[in-house]
Amino acid sequence: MKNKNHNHSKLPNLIIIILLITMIIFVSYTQVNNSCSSYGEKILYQEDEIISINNRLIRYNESWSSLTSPRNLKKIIEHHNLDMMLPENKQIVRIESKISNKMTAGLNIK
Amino acid sequence: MEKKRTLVIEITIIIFFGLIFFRLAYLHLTPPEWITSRTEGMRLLIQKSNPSRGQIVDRNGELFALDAPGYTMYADPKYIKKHGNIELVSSIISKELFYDKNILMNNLLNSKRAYYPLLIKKPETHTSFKNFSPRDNLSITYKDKTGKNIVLNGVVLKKERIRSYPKGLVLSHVLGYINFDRIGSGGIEQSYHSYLLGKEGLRKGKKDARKKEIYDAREIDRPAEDGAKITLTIDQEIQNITEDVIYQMFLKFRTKSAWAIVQDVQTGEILAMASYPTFNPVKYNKVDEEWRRNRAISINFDPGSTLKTASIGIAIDKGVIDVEDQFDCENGRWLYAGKYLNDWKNFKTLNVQEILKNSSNIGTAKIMLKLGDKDLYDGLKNFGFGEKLGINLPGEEKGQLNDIKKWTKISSSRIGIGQGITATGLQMITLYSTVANDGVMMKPYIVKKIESFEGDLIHEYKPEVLRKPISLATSQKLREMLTTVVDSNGTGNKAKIKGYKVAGKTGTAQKVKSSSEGGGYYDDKEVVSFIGFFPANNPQISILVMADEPSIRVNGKLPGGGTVCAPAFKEIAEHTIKYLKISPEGKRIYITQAEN
Repeated sequence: MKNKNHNHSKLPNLIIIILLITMIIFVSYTQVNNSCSSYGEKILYQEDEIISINNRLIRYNESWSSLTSPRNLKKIIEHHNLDMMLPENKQIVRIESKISNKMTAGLNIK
Repeated sequence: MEKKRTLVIEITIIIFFGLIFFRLAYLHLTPPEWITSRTEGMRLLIQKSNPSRGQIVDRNGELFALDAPGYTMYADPKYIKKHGNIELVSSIISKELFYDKNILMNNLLNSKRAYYPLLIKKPETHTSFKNFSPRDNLSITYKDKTGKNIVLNGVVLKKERIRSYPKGLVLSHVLGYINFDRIGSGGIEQSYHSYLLGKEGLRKGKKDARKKEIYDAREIDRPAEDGAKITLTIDQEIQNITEDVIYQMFLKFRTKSAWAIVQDVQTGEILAMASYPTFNPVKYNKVDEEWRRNRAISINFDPGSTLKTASIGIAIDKGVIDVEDQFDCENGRWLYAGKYLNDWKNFKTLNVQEILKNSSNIGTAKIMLKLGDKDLYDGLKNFGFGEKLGINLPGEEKGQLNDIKKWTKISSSRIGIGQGITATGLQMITLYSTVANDGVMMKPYIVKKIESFEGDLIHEYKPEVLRKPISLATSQKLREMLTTVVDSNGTGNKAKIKGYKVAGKTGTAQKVKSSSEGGGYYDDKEVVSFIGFFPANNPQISILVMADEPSIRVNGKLPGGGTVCAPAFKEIAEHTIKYLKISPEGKRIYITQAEN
C-alpha cells in the first residue's frame, strides 16, 4: 500500500517541479524583460534630454550672438548712458613682437 | 484500472498544456512569417533625423548663421472632424495666431486634405508658440490664461530646423540665404552648400502600441552628421562699422547703392564686405533681387581715375617713364585721333607725380601712348583685369578688358584713364593691395577654414601669392605718389587721418548709356569711389568705398569720389586703426598697459 502511494505521488511532484521551473524561467524572463524595457525607457528619456539640452544650448548661443552684436552693444551702452570708446593710439603701449610683422599679418596673433 | 485512467488523464493534460506552452513559447521566441508580416508593418519604426546645417562664424568665432530648433504648426481637418472640436481649435488658434476665426473655421470645415498649414517654419522661441506644446503625433496642448491645459486634437507641432542669422542684416550679402527647400541660394550658403549640408541620420526599430520606440528592438541607429562649420576671414567689428558708414553715405548723398571692402594687404584676407541696400536673409524673398546682389564682386563698373594707379604703375615698371618726367597737359583739352579728351582743370605741364595727384586724363593718356597697347594690355591682365579672382562667392564677375585685337587708335588713351574697361570692386581693391604689398598680388579670400561638426579640420585656406605684376621699386614710387593724393591740396584730402600716412586715389566715372539709349556717357549719372591703404609707410589695410549715382549736388555739381567716398574711407579707417591697434608705423599688436 505504501509503495503504491509512493508511486502515485511521483508524477504530481514531477509536474510541480516542471511547473516550478517554468514559473521561475517565466518570472526571470519577465523580470529581465521588464528591467530591459525600463532601461530602454531611461535611455530614450536621456536621448530626448540630450536633444532638448542641445536645443537649449543652440538657443542660448543664438541669443548670445544676437546680444553681443556690435549694433546691440552700442544700443545697450547708449541706453545706460555710458561713454565708451576704443583707446587712442597714444594710449596704447606697444611692445615689439619677436615674429616679423609680415608673419603676424594674419591678425590671429597668439 | 482507476489509477491507470487517472494517469492517462494526467499525462493527457500535461501533454496538452505542454504543447500549448511550447507552441506559445515557439510563437513568442521565433514567430513565423505569417504572424510577423501582420504586425511588422504596424510596429515598424523608421525615423530619419535631419542634420543641423553647419554654422558660419567670423574670424573670432562670432556666430553669423546657425540652425535653431523650430516648428511648423498645421491642422489635420479630417482628424479634427472625427476626433476633435473644430469650434475650439478655430477659437484658440485664431486668438493666438491672429487669424479670423470664421475664415479659419470655414477653411477647416471645407478642407478635404489632411494638412492645413497654420504657421510654417518658425523658431521655437516665436511668440506664437508661447502657449502651445507638442503632445503626440496628432495633438498639441494649449495652456490658457488660468494655466489650464487644453488638448487640441488634430493640431500638430512638427519639429523643424530653422536657419537663423542672429546678427540680423549684418553681412547678409556674403552669407547669402537658403531657400524653402533648405538649399543654399546665395553667398557662402550657396558656394559651400555641400559642406554645410551634413548627412541624414536613420533609426530603424519597433514601436509599441503608444507609438513610442521600443529601445531594445532598435536595429539601426545612425545619428545625423551635422554640417561643417565655416570660419570666415570677416571681422564682425570692422564689418559692422563698414556697413554703418556706407549706410550713412547712402543717406547723405542719396545714392542708388553703395558698397565697400576692407582687406588685409599682406594676406589678401577680406575683413569686411558690405553692400547697401541690404536684406534680411530670413526674408530674402521679400526684397527685390537687385537688393540681394553682392555689389562688391558682381557689379562691373568703369573704374575711372582709380585705374590710373595701375596704368601709370605699368608704365613706370616698364621703364617708359619716371616720376619726374613731364607731360604737356594741353591746357585741359586735347584733340587726339579726331576725339577730344578733357581734364577737370586747365593743366599745363605736369610731371608724372602731379598727373596722378591731380588725376589728369590728358597726362595719363599721353603716358599710355608712350607705353604702347601691348604693354598696357599685358600689364592690366597681370593685375587680374578681365578675369575672376576666384573668391568662391556666387556671382563674381570678371570685368571687361577687350582683347587687344579689338583696340582702336585711342583705346589705350581711354583704357588708361579707366574708360572702356570695367572691373569689380574686388579687382580694384586687389590692385591697391598689390601696390601696398610691395607689388606682390595676393589672392583675395573670405573663408579661413572649414571644420567638421566634430571639430576636425577639413580645409584651411592660407594666404596665396598670385603673381608680382610690378616691382618693389615701382610699388614704392606709386605709394609715394598716392600719398600726395591725400595731401591737403590733393583730390582725396578728405581721407586724411591725423598722425597716419594714407595713400589712395579718388575715382569719378560717368556711367555708360546702353546702346538703346544711343551709347556714350550720362552727364548726370556717375559711379564715384575712393580706394586707399594705410599706413602708407608700412601698409596693413586697404579699403575701397564706392557709391553709385549720388544725387545730392554739392556746390551745384554732382560730387566726386573725394567728396562722397573719401570721408567714408576715413571713418572706416580710423575705427579699424583703433580696433586693430595699428600704430602709425604699421605695427599692429600688443597692448600691455594703457596710459592714464
